[in-house]
Amino acid sequence: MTSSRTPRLLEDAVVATEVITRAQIEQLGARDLPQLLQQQPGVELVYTNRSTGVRLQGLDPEYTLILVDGQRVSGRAGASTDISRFSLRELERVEIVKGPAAALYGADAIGGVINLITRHPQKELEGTIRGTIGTLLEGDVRANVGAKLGKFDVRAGGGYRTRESYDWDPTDVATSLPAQKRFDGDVEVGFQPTEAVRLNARVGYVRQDFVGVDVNDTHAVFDRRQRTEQFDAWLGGTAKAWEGGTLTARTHFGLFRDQFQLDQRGSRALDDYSQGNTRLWEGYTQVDQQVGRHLLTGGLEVISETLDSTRLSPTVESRFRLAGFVQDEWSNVDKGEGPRITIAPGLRLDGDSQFGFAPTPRLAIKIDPSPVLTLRTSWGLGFRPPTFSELFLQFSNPAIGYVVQGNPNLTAERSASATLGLDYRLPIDGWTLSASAWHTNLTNLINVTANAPPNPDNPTVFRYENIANAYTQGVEVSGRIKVSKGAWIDVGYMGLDAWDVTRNRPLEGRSNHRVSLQLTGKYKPTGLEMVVRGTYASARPYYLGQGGGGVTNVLGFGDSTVVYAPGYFDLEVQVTYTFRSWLKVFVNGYNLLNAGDQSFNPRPPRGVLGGLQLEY
Amino acid sequence: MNSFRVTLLLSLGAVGCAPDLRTEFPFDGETKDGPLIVVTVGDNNSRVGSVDATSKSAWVYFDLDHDKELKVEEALATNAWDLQLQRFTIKSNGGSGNPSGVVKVAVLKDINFDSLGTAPSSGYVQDGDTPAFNGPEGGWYIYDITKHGVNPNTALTYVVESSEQKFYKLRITNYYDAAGTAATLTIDYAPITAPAVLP
Repeated sequence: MTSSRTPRLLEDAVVATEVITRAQIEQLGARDLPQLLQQQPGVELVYTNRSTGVRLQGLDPEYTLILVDGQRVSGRAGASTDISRFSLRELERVEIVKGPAAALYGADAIGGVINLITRHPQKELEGTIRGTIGTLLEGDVRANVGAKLGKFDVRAGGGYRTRESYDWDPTDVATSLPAQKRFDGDVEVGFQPTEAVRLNARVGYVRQDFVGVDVNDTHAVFDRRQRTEQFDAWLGGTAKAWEGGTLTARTHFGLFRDQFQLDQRGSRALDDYSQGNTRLWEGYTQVDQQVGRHLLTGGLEVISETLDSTRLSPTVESRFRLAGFVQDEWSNVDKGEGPRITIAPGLRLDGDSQFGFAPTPRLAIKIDPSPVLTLRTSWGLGFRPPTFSELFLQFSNPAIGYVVQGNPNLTAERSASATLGLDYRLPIDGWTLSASAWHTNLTNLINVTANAPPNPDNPTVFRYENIANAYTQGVEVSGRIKVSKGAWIDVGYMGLDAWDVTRNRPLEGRSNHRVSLQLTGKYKPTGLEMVVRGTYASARPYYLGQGGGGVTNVLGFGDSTVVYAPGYFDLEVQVTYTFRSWLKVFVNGYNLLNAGDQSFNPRPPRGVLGGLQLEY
Repeated sequence: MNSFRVTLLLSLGAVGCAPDLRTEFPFDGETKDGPLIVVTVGDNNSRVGSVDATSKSAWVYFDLDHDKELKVEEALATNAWDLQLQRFTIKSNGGSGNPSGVVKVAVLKDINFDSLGTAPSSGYVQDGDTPAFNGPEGGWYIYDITKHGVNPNTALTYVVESSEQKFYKLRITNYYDAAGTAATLTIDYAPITAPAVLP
C-alpha cells in the first residue's frame, strides 16, 4: 500500500488511498494513463507541448511523485514527469495518495503520490492481446503473456501506439499537441523459493517520438521533434525473514534519453538540437516488524542522479542523496474489537549533496469509532529539490538574445500540509460517502526572475530564485450510490482555493470547482457493460503580458493581464460487449462535447476508438 | 536464468539505439556561405538590401556607394564602409565608432520616403555614445515587449552622407526574413540629390 509502504487492506490504510484496479482500467477502456486519470475526482491533467503532468490538490505536477512499484522513475520533462510515457499494458493497479507523503518517500511527495503497480502472472499460462483504432488515425496494439513455471513466474509484453497531431487553431500551421509514436516492452521474472521469500527482476524499454509544428511570433515555422527513450532495470525481493518481521530490498537503475530538435523551415538560422541523458540509481532496504500492536517500519534509501545535457553548464551534473525513514503504526485495539484509534508518526531525513538536509515528519491518525465511520487526519512536511535545469541551465534564445541561467545556489522548496477526511458507509447497501479537506503551505518556491525588462540592447537574463510563497486548500466530497445490481453512480466535487501569496492573486490555471460524475452499468446476461464519465471544471485564470519567449510568470516584470479560460465539460462513454469469456469488443467515445482550445486547454478533441481484446 | 540474462543484455543494448534525430531528420534550409549583403536595384534607382546580421560577435560592413558588403579586412583597410551592422545595432562610419570616418546621418520624422528627392542641408550627426540609428527619436525599431519582436519605426527616414560624400535616403523595413529569422534586415535605400549647401 503506497500510503504506508507496507502491504495493507485498503480500509486499514491510515492515510486514505484510492485504487484503480486492473478490472476498472479495462472497464473504463482507457488507452493511456492520462485518459485513465483525467476524470478521477481531485485529479487534474496539465497538457504542454512536451508532456502531460498530474496536478493533485491544486499543486503543480512537479509536486506529485510518480512511482513504479514504489520506486522513482528517471527523467523529467521540465520539472515534472511525463505520465504519457507509462503504459497501462503491464499495470495491475494504480494507487493514488493525496496529501503529504514525504515522510516515507522524500522529495516531491507534496501534493501526493501516484504509484503504478505492475502485474504478476496469476495463472499457469495467461495471455492478453488488445487492439484499438480510432480518430486521429490512432492505433494501439499491446500484448502480454505470462506463465508460472514451478517456483518461477515470467511475464513479457510489448506495445505499439501511433496517433496523428491535432490542432485547435487551423488558421496557422502550428499544431496543438504533437503526433505520437510509442514502442514499449518489458520482461519480468519472479522467483519464489518458499512461501516467505519472493525475488523479482524486471527490465523495460519505452521509446516515444513526438512530431509537431510551431510558429513563433516572428512567423518562423519550426518542425519540432522530440524522442525519448527510457530503460529501466529493477531487482528486488521481500522475505518474511523472522517472526513478525519482513525484510525488503530493492534496487533500480533508470536511464532516460531525451532528444529535442527544432528545424526552422527554409533556413538554418534558428535550428536547434539538444540531448540529455538522465541516469538514476536507487537502492533501498526496509524492515517491517510487528511488536504487539505496533507495526514498526524503518529503512534506508540511496539515490544517485546524473544528467548530462548540452543545455547545462557544466554539461554533466550529479547529485547524491541518502535518506533514512522510520514509522510506528500503533492501534489501541485489534481490528473488530470496538472503537479503534491508529496513530502513525513517521520521520524521514534526507541528506542531499546539493542542498543539505531535509527532515520530513508526518503524523497520521485514523479513528474508526464504529464499523460505518472512519476519520483520518494527517500533518506533514515536504520538500522539492531544485531540478538540474533550475540549477545549471544555460540557454540563450537564438532569435532575440535573452538568456535563461540556472542558479547553483538554489535550495529546496518546502511545504507543510494538513488533511482531514471521513469515510461513511451508509446503512444502504453499496452507498458510501467520503469527504476531505486539506491545506498545503508552500514556501521558498523557485520562481523565474528577470534582471530588467526585456530589451534587445541589453538582453534580459532570467534566473531562478527561491523567493515565492503560495498555498492551496480545498475540500473534496465523493459518494457512491448503488442503484441496482451492477449499476452505480459515483459523484465527486472538489472546491479549490489556490493562492499565490507573493503576487497576491490566484495560482494560474486552476479551476475553483470541479464536479465529476460516473455512471456504471453492467448487465451480465447480455455481456454488456457501459461507463459514462463526465467532469465539469470551472473557469481558470491565466496571466498574460509577462515573460514571453517560453518564460512565463516572471517576477519583476510589472503588471499582467488576467484572462479566464472558460469552464469546460469533459464527457466520455465506454461500451464493452463480452462475446465470450476470452473475447471483448469495445467502443470508446472521448471528449464528446469537444472541450478544449489552443491556448489554455490543448487536450485531444472529440474522438472515437474501437477495438477488441482477446484473453487466455 | 540464462534467458533472463540474454534479455537483460539485449535490453541494455537497445538503449540509445534509437537514431539521432539529426540523422533521421536532417535540418532543411541552406547554410549561408555567400555574401552577407545582397542588393537588388529596382526602378528609379531604388535599392533593396538584404543584410544577414545574425552573428552575435561579427560585424557586417555595408558600402552604400557600391551597393555591396565589404569584408572586415577590406573595410578596415579602405575605410570605405558606410554602415556596420550586428543584430539590431547599426553604426555609421564616423564619430565614436570610428573617429577617422566621415559618414553622417540625419534622422527625419514623418516625411514621405518616396517623395524625398533632396537631402536636407542640416541635422546631421555622427555616432555618439549611442549610434545615430539606435539613439535619436528612439532608434530605428520599436521593441514589442509582449512578443519579443523588433518592429521598424516606420515614422523614421534616415539620410546618410556616405564615405564618398554622396547622399542616400534609407529606411529599415524588416528585421526578419521570410523564414522568420531575426537579424536578417531588409533595408530600402536610394541615392538622392545633395543639398545646395553641404552640411
